[in-house]
Amino acid sequence: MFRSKLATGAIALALMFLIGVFGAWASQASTTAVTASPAPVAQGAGGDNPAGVTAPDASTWVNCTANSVGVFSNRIHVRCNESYSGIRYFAYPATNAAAARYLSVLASAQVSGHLLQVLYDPADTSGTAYGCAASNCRPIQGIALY
Amino acid sequence: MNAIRKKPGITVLMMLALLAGWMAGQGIIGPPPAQAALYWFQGVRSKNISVCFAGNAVTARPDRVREIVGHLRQFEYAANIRFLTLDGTSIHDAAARGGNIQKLTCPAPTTVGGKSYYAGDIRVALWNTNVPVDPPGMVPGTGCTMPLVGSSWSNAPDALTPNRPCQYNLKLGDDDLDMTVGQPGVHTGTPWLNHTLHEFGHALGLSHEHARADENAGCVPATADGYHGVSTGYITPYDKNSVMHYRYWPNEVPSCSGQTGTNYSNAGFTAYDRLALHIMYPEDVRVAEFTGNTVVKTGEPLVLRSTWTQAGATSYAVKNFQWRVDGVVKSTGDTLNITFAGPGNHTLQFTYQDFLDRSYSFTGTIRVLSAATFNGQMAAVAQAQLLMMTSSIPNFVYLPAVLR
Repeated sequence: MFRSKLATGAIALALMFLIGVFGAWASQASTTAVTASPAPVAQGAGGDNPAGVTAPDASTWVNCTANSVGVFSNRIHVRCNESYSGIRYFAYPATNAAAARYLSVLASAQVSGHLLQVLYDPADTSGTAYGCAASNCRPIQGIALY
Repeated sequence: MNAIRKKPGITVLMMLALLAGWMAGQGIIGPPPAQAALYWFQGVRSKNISVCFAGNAVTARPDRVREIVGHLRQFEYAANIRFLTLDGTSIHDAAARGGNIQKLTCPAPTTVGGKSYYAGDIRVALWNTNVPVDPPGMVPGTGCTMPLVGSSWSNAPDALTPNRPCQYNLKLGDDDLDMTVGQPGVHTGTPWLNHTLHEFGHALGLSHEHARADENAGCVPATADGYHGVSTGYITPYDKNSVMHYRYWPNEVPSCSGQTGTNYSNAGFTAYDRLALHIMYPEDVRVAEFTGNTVVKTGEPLVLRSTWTQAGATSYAVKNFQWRVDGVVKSTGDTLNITFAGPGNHTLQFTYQDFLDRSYSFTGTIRVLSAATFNGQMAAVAQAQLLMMTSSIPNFVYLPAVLR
């Protein structure tokens, strides 16, 4: 009986592992589809690509020592001690359903002193639509808390 | 929820399995991708760098000019660099449709001390314009002593002043040869992105990666100029995929495998390329970057490490580490590993210097909590995040630490 339960438990754990792998694969597949096309062109800027050269995947992970987390009517954001080419704010639109989840993790990072990593695209200035300034802020694509 | 309350251990195990699977799928678990950079010992430039195109390039080849300007974004994404026209406008604004692309044309020279004086930090000459680029001869300009060599090259930062009399200091070809297929190769018809990054990499102070003495991938033929000749200035480990690494024919380097980048590629900067540029062109506010958690419980080691060295920066690139806790030096290495006997707050100061002796610093707080307080605070965080996970799993939200 005990061995049967053990086997069932092991199978369940293996299944969860495989579900995780599949989930990651599925999300990467969709990400690849996006990044296979030329990188987004910054608003009001050049970046014309007449020859059709595909730019490399621009999304990148950076460490962020969170020193403030802000909630506004149109966005949430985290301010990092570090900056990357002048970018030290990372924001997410408040209108998106995932904003609450991101906020929870961002606040946790600041309160718990845990390492926060942020995935963002340096070329993506679409955040200007919700108050994320092109000069110092980029939209959050993903976050990791360690 | 009842199941979670009754068997929290099983739930946590299930979550961990799901998380491990997710991380494995994302490539978080497993060895990092092998990915470099070599300082040229000829200086770096300032943050704001003026760029112009010599002769009639802007009118004769506007699409190529726009393409190159677009490629230069990669530098601005990787480091604290801004490419500007001579009047201080962003080159991207000037090159945009509707912008004034003529701002990218290098102005006519003035005369200083009997020699030509060409304004602009990086003055680019393209082929198939009215600017002489084909050897033999000299780069135009009264008093210019640079010969017309090769198809593409660039001056180093320190050469700006002595070569002011020269009409251009960076020559960029339209190199599009696919060398991966073997000789004689195939012309793709589209110049390589990395070719532009390579020449501007020189202009910003990077040397040839393939000249490193520690090249150990068999990706450089023994007949190459500077073969294994450079043993100093290593900012990162050797990187066969760096934009600063030449591509050689397969038959020249038969033991080279897995080479996906180099100067003849559209792969863009490698992680080491970006790290080197980030170090060479630091942020306006130079914050000492570290990795680790600053809230620990009594008796648990606090382990913090330099983000740069963790990413691959060498002991040449970054030095003079100093970790101070409450004003007392606790480590002079790239890592702080310390255990606190009792709860309380402590002041953390972390400082270091880069290879150009520029200083970086961070001041913050270390919070040491009693086991009970720590567990209480972290449990609240964990609970909130577990609820997030059980409601749905958004892309790229990983929560490993909270399950500890």
